[in-house]
Amino acid sequence: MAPSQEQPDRDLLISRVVDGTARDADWTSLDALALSDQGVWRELAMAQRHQACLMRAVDESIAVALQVELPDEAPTLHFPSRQQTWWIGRWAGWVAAAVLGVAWVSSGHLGTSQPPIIKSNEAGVGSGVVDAGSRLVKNAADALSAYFDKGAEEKRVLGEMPTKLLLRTNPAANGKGYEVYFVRQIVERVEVPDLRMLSTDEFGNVRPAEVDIRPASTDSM
Amino acid sequence: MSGESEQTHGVERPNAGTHPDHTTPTHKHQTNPEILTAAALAGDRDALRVLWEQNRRWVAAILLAHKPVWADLDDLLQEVAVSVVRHSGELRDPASFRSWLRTVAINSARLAARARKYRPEPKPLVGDEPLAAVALGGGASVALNEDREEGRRLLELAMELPEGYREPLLLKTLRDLSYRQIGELVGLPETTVETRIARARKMLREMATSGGAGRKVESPVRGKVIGSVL
Repeated sequence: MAPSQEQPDRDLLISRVVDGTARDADWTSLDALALSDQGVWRELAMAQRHQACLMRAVDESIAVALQVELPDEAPTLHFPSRQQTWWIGRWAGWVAAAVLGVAWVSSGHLGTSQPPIIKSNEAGVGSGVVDAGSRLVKNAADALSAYFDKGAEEKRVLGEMPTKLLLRTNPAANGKGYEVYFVRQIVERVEVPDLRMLSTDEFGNVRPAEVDIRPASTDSM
Repeated sequence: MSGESEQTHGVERPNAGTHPDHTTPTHKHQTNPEILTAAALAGDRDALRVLWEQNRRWVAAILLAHKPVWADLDDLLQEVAVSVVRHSGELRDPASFRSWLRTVAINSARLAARARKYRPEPKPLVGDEPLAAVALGGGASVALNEDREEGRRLLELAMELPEGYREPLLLKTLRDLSYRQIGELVGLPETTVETRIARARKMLREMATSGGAGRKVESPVRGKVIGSVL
């Protein structure tokens, strides 16, 4: 069955004619084949008819399916897999509580907790600044990296969630690509003596209220 | 040339308008498949819709090639559509979208076969109503009906081909995809795809002329028995 230089594969030649991809050399080969076997033309005719009939049958079979539209439900984008997020369910409440604690701390209720210091370099050349570790911070990515390093050193920044939450996308102003708005999810840890959450009193004023959070069992930790 | 592809921004895409899915809407990045796919995967709903409508035809052909004969194609395609909405955002590489979509389609078809949740009775592969023939009438109508019957019979015979031959053949029958595009979809070299399609057509001719009564079909590559023709 394997084609050779002198005798190209008969089925392949017929198939190329059916697909409209046969070149001059293929037609020449077919002619040469037909000299010794006129049946090749009959086979070609049969293949052409089969293709026409099969195309119609397939078109008809899948025609109804072409009415299938995407369902109207929000796409779930870039969320971690279940394996990646098993711990979120356990810790989500505590993470939220920690965030509340951080908010309470940074509002001045409990001492001061300064973020990593980003200050201007002494020379004031360009837009570069140096972080607390005296590294040159050229851009936001450098600053973020410094934040992670410093946060890890202080055991405050635990890491970043592997995925980002998409907010929206717009076509880029220059027509090339998209601008994407997303939320970067960074997990922090802080120790606080008590936890409070913001609630509204009977006068509509937002006030912090003490929250008593205890794990349901030691398993949940 | 029908079935060939055009180059757009260096990326091959199926010819527009060579298939009957004329409902495909326009999108600002439709001419650049890479950007369209990236936008769709990043959450652009319109881009995802356009992407789906550009690809659902061959997805239907994949389902047709892999589904049990009694499973409803539109039900399975709906399942694939749901998966596209729910999970396409998890894809990191836009270039892998098509192969991922094919895998989703094949899995849906196989799950249907295992679950047997669809009606078990066989149903015709094509409709019984000769729509095109109605308008013509007379001898033309008879000829069209004969062609329809022949097409239906050939499709049934094609379903008996080995999977590795059936799928490329049905994809090529759509006329939207080049050998190279089919190769990218099924993960085979272009030359292998061309050879398999040629072999599939050869097998189909043999099956059609022999009447296919219980004859064993052998894989031309491995020479082993791969199925029985009814």
